[in-house]
Amino acid sequence: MERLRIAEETAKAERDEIDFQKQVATIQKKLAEASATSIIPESLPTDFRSFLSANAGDIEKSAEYYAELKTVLNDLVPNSPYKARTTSDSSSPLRASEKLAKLSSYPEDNDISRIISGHISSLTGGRVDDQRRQLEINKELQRLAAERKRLEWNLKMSYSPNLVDGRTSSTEDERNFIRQQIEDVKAEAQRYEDEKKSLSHLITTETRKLQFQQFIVELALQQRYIHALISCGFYRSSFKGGDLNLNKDSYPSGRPAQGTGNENTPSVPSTGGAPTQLPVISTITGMEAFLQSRIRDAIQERESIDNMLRENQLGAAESLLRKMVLTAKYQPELQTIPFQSRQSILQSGRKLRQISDAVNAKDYDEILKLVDSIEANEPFAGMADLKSFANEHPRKALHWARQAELAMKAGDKKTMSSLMDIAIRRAPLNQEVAQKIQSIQENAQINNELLEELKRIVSAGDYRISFERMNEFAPLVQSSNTDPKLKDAYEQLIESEKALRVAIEKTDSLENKGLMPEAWIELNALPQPITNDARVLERKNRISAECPKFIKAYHKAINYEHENQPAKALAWYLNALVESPSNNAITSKVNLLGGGILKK
Amino acid sequence: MARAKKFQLGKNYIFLTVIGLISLGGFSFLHLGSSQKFPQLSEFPVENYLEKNGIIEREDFRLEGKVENILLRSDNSNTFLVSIKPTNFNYLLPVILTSQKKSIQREQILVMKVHADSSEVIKCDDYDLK
Repeated sequence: MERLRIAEETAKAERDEIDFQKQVATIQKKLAEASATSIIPESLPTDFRSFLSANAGDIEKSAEYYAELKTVLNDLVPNSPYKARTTSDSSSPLRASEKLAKLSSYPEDNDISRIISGHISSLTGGRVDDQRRQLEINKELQRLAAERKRLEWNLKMSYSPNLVDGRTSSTEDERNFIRQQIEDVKAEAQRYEDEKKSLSHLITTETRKLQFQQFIVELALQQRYIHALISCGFYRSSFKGGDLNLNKDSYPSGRPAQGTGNENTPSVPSTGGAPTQLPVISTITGMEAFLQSRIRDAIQERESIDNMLRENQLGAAESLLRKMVLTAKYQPELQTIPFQSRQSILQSGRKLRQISDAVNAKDYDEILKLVDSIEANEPFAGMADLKSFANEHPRKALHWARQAELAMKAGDKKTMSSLMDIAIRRAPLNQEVAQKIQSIQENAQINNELLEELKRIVSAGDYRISFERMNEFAPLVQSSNTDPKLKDAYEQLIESEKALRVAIEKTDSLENKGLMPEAWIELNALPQPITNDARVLERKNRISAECPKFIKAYHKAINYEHENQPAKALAWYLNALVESPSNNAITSKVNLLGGGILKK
Repeated sequence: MARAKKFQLGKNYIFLTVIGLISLGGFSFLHLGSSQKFPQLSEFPVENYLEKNGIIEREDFRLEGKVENILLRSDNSNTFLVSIKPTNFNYLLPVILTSQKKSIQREQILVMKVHADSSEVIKCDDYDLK
C-alpha cells in the first residue's frame, strides 16, 4: 500500500516538473517584456547601453547649448515647438544667423551650425575665405581618411580567429557598431567634400540649393531635428516665395530599401522597434511639419519619463527611454536626462536581470529579496506571481524530499533516488532541502551498512546480539525488500534468545527456591543452539554441584530413553525421583514409561 | 500321693517340653524354609542391570528387596508395577509382579524369582514375603 502511494507521488512529481518548466518560461517571458535591457542586453543597440551608463558630464553646459539652439529655432520658425504661444511674430532670421555662429563653439554641435552657416553664405552669395577653409577641409578629410582606414582594419581583424581557442574575438554587435562608425565617417567626409565643392565659384545657385536641401534631409535622417528645422527656416527665408520643393536628387521620393541605395546616403541604425526612416516628404513645408511633430513627440516623451521616474515606474520609463534613443537621438529632451535618473533605470533593469538569473538558478531566496527590493521602490510593480513562485517551489522540493525519505524507509531505492533528484533540481540552493537530502543519503548509507551487519549476525547465528539490537534491525526486517530467508533466520534467532531468557528467568527462580533438579531440567530442555550458551553453562555448573545424584540419574534415564530401553530409563527416573520427590516432570515420565511397560 | 503329684508334674513337663520342641521345630522349619526361598537361583545383578553391563535374557534370578512404592496396577488389578529397593543396594528397580494370595503392600520385604524379558523389563515370576 505504501509502495503504491509512493509510486503515485513519483508520477505526480514528474507531472509537476513539466508544469514547473512552463511556469519558468512564462516568468522569463514576462521579465523579458518588462525590461529588454535586463534580459538580453547584447541584442540591444549599443547606443542605448552607452547612453544609460554615460557620465553625467556637462549636462549644465549641454543645457546651455540646447537653450541657445532653441532660441535660434524660435527666431527662425514662428510656430516652433519651444516657443510660447503668442499672437505676435517675434521671428528674426538675422538674429538667428548671428546666434548660429556662437553655437559652433559647443562640442555638442559637431560643427553642424557652421556647416549651416556655410550653406547660407553660399546661397546668399556672401564671400567666405575659401582658401583658408579649403585647407581646413583638406586636413579634416585626411584625418577622416585615416580614421576610416583604422576602423576598416578593426572590422577586418574582428573576423580573425583567436590563435589560442580559434574563436573570433568580436561579436556581431561589435562589428555592426564598427560598420556604423565607418558609415558616420564616410558621411562626415562626404559633407566636407560637398562643402569643398560649394567653395568653388563655379558652383551654380541651383547646385547650392540642391546641396542645402540634401543637407537638410541628412540632418533629418540623423535625427538632428532642431538643426534640420533651423536649416529649413534659413532655406525658407532665403527663398521667400521661391522654390520650396525638395529636389529629387537630394531626397528621391520612394527610394529603394536601405542598403541598396546610394552609398553616400546616410544610413541609420535599423535596430529596435520604433520607426527610424524618414517618410516620403516632397516639400520643405512638409519636412518642417514632420520635424516639428518629432520634436513635440520628444518633448512629450521626456515629460512622461520624468513623471514615470517621479512615480518610480522604472520599467515603463526604461521602455520609453529606449524608444527615444531610437527615434530622437540628438534631441535635448533625451540628452539632458540626468545621470541619476538614467542610473535608476539601469539599476531597475539590472534587478530584473538578477531576478531572471535567480529564476534560472532557482535561487528562491534571492528572488524574494530582489522582489522585495523592487517593491520597496515600486509598490505596484506587479511581482505577486514571482513571490508566489519563489514561495511555492521550495515547499514542493521539501515535499518531494520527504517522499524520498519515505521511499527509503520502504526500501524503494529507485523511487528514493528519483524523488531526491526531482527535489534537488527544484530547489538546488535551498538549505533545508539540501540538509534533508543529505540526511536521506546518510540514512540510506547507514541502512546499507546495517543490512550488511544483519547478514553477518544472522550468518553467525548470534541470537543474543540479534535480540539486543532488535530496535535497530526491526525497520530493516519489516521492509518488504529484505530477503525473506534472511528475515526468517533473523526471527528464529530472536525466538531462541527469547526462549533462553525465559528459561534463565525460570531457572533463577527455581534455584532461589532450592529446587535444583527442576532448575536443571529447565536448562536441559533448551534446544541445541542455546543449550551451550555461556549463561546456560554457567548455571548448569553451579546447579550440578548441588544435586549430582539427580543429574546422574536423570542423564542415565534420558540416555536409556533415547536408546529405547524404557525399563532401564524408568529405573533411573525412579532413582531421580528419590532425589527430587515432588518433581512433576519426572513423575509424569514414570507414569508414561510405567504405563507402557505394564501394557506389554 | 506326693509321688503321684511329682509324676503328674513330670508328665506335664514332658508334655509341655514336647509341645515346645515341636513348636520350635515348626518355627525353625518355617524360618529356615523362607530364608532359603529360591536358594538355587543367583542374586539379581542390580548394578549390572542399571549400568547396562548385560544380564542373561530370560535367566531367572533371586531378588530380595523392600516394596518402596506401588506405582501402577493393571486393569484387572492383578498385575502391579512396583518400585523395589533391593536389600544392600541404594537404588530402586521397577518390577512387574502379579499378585498371588499374599497381598502386596508398601514396606513389605519380598523375596522374588525374577527374570528380564527381551525389553529388559524385570518381571517377577514368584515371590514370598520375608
